[in-house]
Order: sequence, then structure tokens, then C-alpha cells
Amino acid sequence: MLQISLLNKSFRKFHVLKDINVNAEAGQIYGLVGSNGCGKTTLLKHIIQVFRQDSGEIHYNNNLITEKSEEIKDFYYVQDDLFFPQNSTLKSLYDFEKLLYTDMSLEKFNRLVKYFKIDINKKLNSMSKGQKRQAAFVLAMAANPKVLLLDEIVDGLDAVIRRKFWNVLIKEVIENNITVIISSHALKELDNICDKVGIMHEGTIIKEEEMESLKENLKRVQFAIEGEYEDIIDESFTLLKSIKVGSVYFVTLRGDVDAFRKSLEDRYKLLIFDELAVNLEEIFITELGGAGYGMEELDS
Amino acid sequence: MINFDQNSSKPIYEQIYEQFVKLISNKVLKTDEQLPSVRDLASSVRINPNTIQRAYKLLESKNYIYSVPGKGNFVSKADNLISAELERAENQFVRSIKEMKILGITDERVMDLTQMTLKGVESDASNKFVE
Repeated sequence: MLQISLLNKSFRKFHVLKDINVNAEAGQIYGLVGSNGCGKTTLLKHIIQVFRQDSGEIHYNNNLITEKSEEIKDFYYVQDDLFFPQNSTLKSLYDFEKLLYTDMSLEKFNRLVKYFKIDINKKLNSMSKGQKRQAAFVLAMAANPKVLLLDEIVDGLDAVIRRKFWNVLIKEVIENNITVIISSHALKELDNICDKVGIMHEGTIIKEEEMESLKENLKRVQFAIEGEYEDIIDESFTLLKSIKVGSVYFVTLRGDVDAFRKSLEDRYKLLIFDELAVNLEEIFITELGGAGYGMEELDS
Repeated sequence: MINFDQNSSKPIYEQIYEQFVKLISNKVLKTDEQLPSVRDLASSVRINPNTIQRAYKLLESKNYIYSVPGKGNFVSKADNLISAELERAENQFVRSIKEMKILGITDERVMDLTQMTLKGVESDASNKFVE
């Protein structure tokens, strides 16, 4: 569906995107997560060709995307720092965008305006950050895009509005089989919602994988033993991180959890052993830790 | 009706599957009753629709539900449910035996317990755990 291959971009000497590969399918919610300033917004802006890459290609349904492509009309980008023309209202923006997007639906627009309780005649620039995001989201949905790019949209919304937002988005994905690429720092929000995750760091995608397999591959356990524990080296698992809190050890590992438990039992008297949930935040920290991010010690 | 635990190490689809099994076994959901649509359930519990779909597929493969194309998913007939329940009970039995082995309970003890239970003898399992 949407394929980005070996995309590179530099702003002067600054190499912002390095060999980016992204594969998103129809009906998929793709979570784009990454450290601050890693290039998420720059990447999204390349998809709609606001920025043009130095090298690499973007394909949509096997067609090469350039600034002149008709297909771009199927894309809709809701940016992080929303900027509206002076004195514009949601009503006036709708009338304007109707000229740009052929599939604009007034029925859907009205329905969503009512659902989010937005005053369509209020000046957008006098609205709060959260209200602006809702307004921009309603407009995006009314345009019926095939590819929806959402830049940190949930980060400024309250819990009630976030719920409404996901409600609308999930229904849209199921009913119209659209592709959503959503960037966010609110990893708890994306957890269990995304089909696929791309983890970005310093201009590269360090990991792109289905959420389910990410979770199957990474394990966390807590255990307590008699005596002092030392990390075990074994071919059926790899220990990534071990910390001790009181008398309980927390270990993050890849591979066979049962084999790890067994090798603990062979060496120590095992008092407790529990497998813990792995959430997206854990995966994120582990992957970025592998890339050397956030590994600095806090000097006491 | 359906909930999931973020802090459980069990995959979400399995948690959803188990809750439906419970609802069906307890007859909260009755034969031919319709399950919530994937869309409604996904947006109400705020999880990926494909996760719900996976749980429903598992329920279907285990005969708890049947699907009617274009209409949705419905609770199976009583006979189908019985075979599903049998399988669940057997799996539970196998899991218990495995757990006993891990705890170091001898094969003889497992056999004794099984026979005693079968004979309807009040088992003293709760008093005699592991030394």
C-alpha cells in the first residue's frame, strides 16, 4: 500500500532522515514513535511531499509519489503545530477544503461536529490547543482520505476527547479500510491500538514490526532466589537488562522464558517467578537502549 | 462486559477469548445470541480491531461461536458447546498435572489423587501439599 524505501534527506549539513523504510498496509494503524527530534514530523511531511527527499522513493499502490501525483489528494496530514489563517472558522475551512478534496462529506462533517461539540463559527485561532486539534481532526475525517497522517494528535487531548477520537478512528479504519500513520509520545495511547510500530531514532527507523510479534519477542520476568544472582548465558535466551529492587530481580529478555526459569532452578533455589506484561513503553525503552539512548547514569 | 488487564502477561486476544468463554459457559450469552460487532467492541474497549477478530476466530475454531457472513458472530448450539467445554476441561486437567510435576509431586501421588477423585473419595490434597 504505502511503501517508503531508502529515503534520505539533509537540511544543509544536517542529515535528518537516513535510509528510511516504511511499509504500511490498508486497514492498518501504524504507530510512529521515537525520541524527541528524531525526524518523525519530517518523515510525515515527505509522504505528502511538502518536503522533497534527496534520495529514495515513496510508493502508494505501486505508483511513485511525487509532488505532482494525483494520489496525494488521497492523503491527509494533520500537523502537530496547527496554524490557521487569520479569522478562519471551521465552517470557512470546510468550504475551502471542499475545493481541494473531491470526497469531502458534509453529512460526516456535521455528524462529527455534533459528536465533538465544536462551534463551527468560532474563530479557530481563539480556540484552545485541544479544541484546534479536534477541529482539524473533524476536517480530516470529513475529507475521507485513504491515508491519514496524524502528528501527535492525541498528545494534547483530555481523556474524554481521546476516547471519542479513538472511537471515530477505529470505526473509520474498519468501515473504509484506510491507512493511519500516527506519531505520538503517548505510548500508552498507542499500545494495543496499533497493528504495526516503527521506532525511530536519530533519523533512522531502528525497528519496524507488527505490535503482536514485538510483544511476543520481548519478555519481562520478576523473580526472587536464595543467594546472589548472576546473569546466565544460554543459547535459548538473551538477557537484555537485569535490575534488583529489594530482594526481587526484574529481568528483560528475548527468547525462551521457560528455559530461563529452568536454568534459574538448576542454579538457585527459586522462591518466586512471574512473567510480567510487556507494554509498548518497555519495548521502546529497550530498543532505544540498544541504540544507546537513555543509557546515561544519573550522577548522585 | 469485556475487559482486559494491561498488566497481565497474557496476550489481549487470549484475555478476550477467555472472557467470552466464561460468559458463554455461564449462559450469560445464550445459544444464537449475537456477540458485539468487532467494530463496536474494538472502539468500546479501545483496542485494535484485528485483536478482536483474532479472539473471535479462536472462539469459532473452538466451536463456541459460529459466524454468519454479513451478519456477525453468534453463540453456538448446545451440542457444539458441550464439545468445546469437554476440550476445555481436558486441557485444564492436563495443565494441572503439568503444574503438579513442576512442584515436584510424584507420579504415584498424581495417580492416587486421580483415582481417589474418581472414586469420589474426599481428597486431602489441600493438607498434603509439598514438603
